[in-house]
Amino acid sequence: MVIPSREDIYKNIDEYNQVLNATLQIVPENELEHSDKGKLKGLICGVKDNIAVKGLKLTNASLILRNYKAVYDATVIKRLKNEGVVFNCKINMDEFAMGVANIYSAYGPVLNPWDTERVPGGSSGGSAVVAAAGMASFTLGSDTGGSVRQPASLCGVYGYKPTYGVLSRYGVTSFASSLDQVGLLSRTPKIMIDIMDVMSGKDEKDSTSIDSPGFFHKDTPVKGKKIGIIKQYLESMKPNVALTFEKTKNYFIENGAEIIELDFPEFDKVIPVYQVISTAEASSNLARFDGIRYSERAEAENVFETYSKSRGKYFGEEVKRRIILGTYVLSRKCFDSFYLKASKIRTIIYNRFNSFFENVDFVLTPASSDIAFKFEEKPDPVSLYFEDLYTIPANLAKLPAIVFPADVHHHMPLGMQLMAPRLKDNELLNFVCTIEKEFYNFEKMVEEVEHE
Amino acid sequence: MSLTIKEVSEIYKLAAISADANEMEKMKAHIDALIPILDEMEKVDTEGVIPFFELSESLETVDFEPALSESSKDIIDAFTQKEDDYLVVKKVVDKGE
Amino acid sequence: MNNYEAVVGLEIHIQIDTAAKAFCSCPTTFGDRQNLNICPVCTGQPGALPSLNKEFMEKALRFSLALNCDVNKDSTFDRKNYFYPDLTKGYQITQFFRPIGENGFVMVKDSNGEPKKIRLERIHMEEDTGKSFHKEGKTLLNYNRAGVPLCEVVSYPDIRTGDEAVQYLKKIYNIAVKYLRICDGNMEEGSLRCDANVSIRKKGETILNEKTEIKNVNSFSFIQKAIDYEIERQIKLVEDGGEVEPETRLWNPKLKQTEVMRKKSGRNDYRYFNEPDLAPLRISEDKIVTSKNSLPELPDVKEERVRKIYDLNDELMELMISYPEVCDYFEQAVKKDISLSRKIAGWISGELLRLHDKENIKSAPVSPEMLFELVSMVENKRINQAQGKEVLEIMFSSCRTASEIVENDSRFAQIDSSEIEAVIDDIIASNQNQYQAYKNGKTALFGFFMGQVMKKSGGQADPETVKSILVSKLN
Repeated sequence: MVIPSREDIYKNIDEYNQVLNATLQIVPENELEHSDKGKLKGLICGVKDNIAVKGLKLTNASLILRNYKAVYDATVIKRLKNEGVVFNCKINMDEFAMGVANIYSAYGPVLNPWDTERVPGGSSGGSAVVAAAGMASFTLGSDTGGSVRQPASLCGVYGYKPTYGVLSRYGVTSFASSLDQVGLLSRTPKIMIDIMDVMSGKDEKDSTSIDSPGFFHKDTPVKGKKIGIIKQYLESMKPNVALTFEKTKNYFIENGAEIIELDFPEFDKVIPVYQVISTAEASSNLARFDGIRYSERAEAENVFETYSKSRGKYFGEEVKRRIILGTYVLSRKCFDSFYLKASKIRTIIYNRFNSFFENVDFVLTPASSDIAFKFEEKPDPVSLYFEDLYTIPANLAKLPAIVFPADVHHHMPLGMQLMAPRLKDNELLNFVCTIEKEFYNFEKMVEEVEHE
Repeated sequence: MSLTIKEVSEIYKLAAISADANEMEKMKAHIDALIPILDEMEKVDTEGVIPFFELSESLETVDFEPALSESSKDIIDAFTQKEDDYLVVKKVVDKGE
Repeated sequence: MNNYEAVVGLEIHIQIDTAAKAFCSCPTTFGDRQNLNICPVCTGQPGALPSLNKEFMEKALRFSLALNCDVNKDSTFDRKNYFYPDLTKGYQITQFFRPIGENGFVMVKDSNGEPKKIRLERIHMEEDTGKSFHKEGKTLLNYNRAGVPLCEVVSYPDIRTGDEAVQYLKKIYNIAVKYLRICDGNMEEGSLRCDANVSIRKKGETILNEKTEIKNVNSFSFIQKAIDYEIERQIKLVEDGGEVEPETRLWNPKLKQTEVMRKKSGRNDYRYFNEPDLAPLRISEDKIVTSKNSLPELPDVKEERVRKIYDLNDELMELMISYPEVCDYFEQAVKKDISLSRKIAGWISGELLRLHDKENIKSAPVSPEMLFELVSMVENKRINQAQGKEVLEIMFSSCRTASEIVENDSRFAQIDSSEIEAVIDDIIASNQNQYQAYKNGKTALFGFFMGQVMKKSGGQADPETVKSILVSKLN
């Protein structure tokens, strides 16, 4: 069954969880509530450990919060609870959602369920793994530059990032506020529509949230759709990705879609713009983790040393790299040339994508640079930043995007991405339901991984 | 352009992160590797372009009904060090602005 | 000494009196148990986000308009990044790049009594920090105040003397506390906090020299003394060949001097940037106009108008301008007879406010109309001044009108001159010795007769009438 039952979920947890290191806290089956009320009764949700579920851990996979428990429910959690969803685990991730391979967790890396020598992607690698391995009905992740979609591609599940603001960020540990969005991961896009119907919508507690565009099931045929493809991406794809991209494109053509080539001259500015904006915001957002009020406190001579020693001791390497870069780009000397410049280029990219959607319904792009790499192949930190090349534009332009399983290479799944115009989230999800039915889906992926 | 170790150390200070010389050296190398990538942005003509953060719609205000938070007790319980519901830190001796 | 002039700018933090905090719904009540009014937002728990309190925005808008500021139609919220235990998020939400109000001014009087404009650079919205208490070896923190709304008003360095500084501060205090009622004005509890930047230069120069900052001078009398002291100190220092160093100083009220708190070492890098959790605040022209039209009459306009219409001395003017509700009461009371304005103002200041709190004159049991009637009765000599005071006290305790009291109490029965003449005749008859002495030139005895008559009439007689009859009888 695509959506595992409660019984299967705990069976899968027993079987896979320890090996995959995908979770940081499991609610034992006998302690998990039974809910028989609400639109989503019976669904069991796994939650990335940067989203607050009252009473459960909220470590952000960091040592600095190793003993911290959430003191309130995130708005998305509250809304799911109200409709009968129960929560069975807090999920491992890259520390503070910074990473693309889930190798930066303070509690050890998460392994890819299809090949444990390979990474699951990140930063919501654990959320992709829990969804793929059926350790929950669906999972929540967060997506700042592709953190939901890239691991979805590498683990063979659906990973959806809504239009910025459609989901409240209240209760989601901020990494880069202007880019962060809660995302969903599951083995099928169908339940995403029902879940979004419940979770979406304006929240007074997050002033950047917006009204729900509406979520409901409707037939959305491929025929007649205009699908954009980006010229510069075609030139940059690695062989596996190029093959799958071609295959997906052909499916659309064969089913009556029109393919339109788009020009994205700023595509090579995506990484620097993202690096500047995301680290700048992160350097400020992570200032609250200081050893003072609730986090781990290091021994120190005086209070100012308490700050630097706690942060020096309990933040991981990658988190420090981002904070230091972010602090640097916001410093007086760099503000105009880096921060302000990046924000202006972001405007250009935003306008560019909006103009694309004057002519196309969706944009098809790769989701990850390749299939999952092996732990032993681990690239250097700077090269890893390029892993999110295809996913970042949706965050910069605040657009909805979804990654769907599309292929298998070397027994490993590979997804493709579709982006949609702002607030066309429902059209996007329904379109992917058509793709699931007609082109490729989770079951097909599993079959190919096992028999390719 | 590359950073001096002194500059790196200043950034660490601003970020309130302690580090030894070795870590700072490594960080310097990391930032030095990134700067040329960031400098690519110079090539984009942004004359007359407004920064992205000014694009959004207006902030909506909220009519708050004042109420005690359900979480205040849990927040106090989570205090790293406490005394009679106060949070306790090492004595703050002003070190200058 | 006279070759120098002082260049002073003030930064005033004003706590805005709202029911909930600036960015969350915690109550703002002062004096509650420590860390009672805290929530995930104001203590910076992971994932908590700010929302802007509507009441705060509206009060800040009114304040900006009342201080003659241009209102920014899209102001920004920005983060000021620094670490301090009383700051819960590692940054303060403030308005750095585009504050809600800019280019305002308030009027003061210079040393010659001439009107002088003190320009305001900006007024911005921000959040207060928590409170620290220092104990042996440790600091205790209470975050009830963290996130309480503040407006910071920053002046240009247009102030030249301690006296101008006090006038300026008082003006802002009055507007916020008395006119707009957006601040409770409790300076001891820190509802209004003032920092002064002081430098000096040779007269005629326009350069700005190195300045010192005097922190937290939170009383009107201290601010004047502290600034005047600091000006003198700097002049003396420079005259003696020294140099003013950039430093933060504190006023020591015991020794009546400013003292170094810390040296300023270079500029701090607060890494200001737009607060990504709060979009720019766009305020429509309509909203600005509506807000402007809802403002009460402000002190400068009021002063000019009141001075023109009524005959009041400086002391009474000061009362009317500092307490707009007293002024409203006064204007209501003099409506029927404007010629009584000084008398009525005198009664309000001397008697009414002795019996009732001037902050809350509206609730006095004696209405302006009732006071007018009383004062008229005194002026028409229906009762005398002393009786008037007594009647007023009865009015307060009984809520009756002056005429009701006077007509129904024999003590206030009117005594006509024939009765007074009879009393005087009586007294002269029974005090022949004194009468003779007076006749022989001991005119100081006039007071004796006066006293006797008043006593005999039980204080009811009008002293002026008694006096004139007595004069004619004795001579």
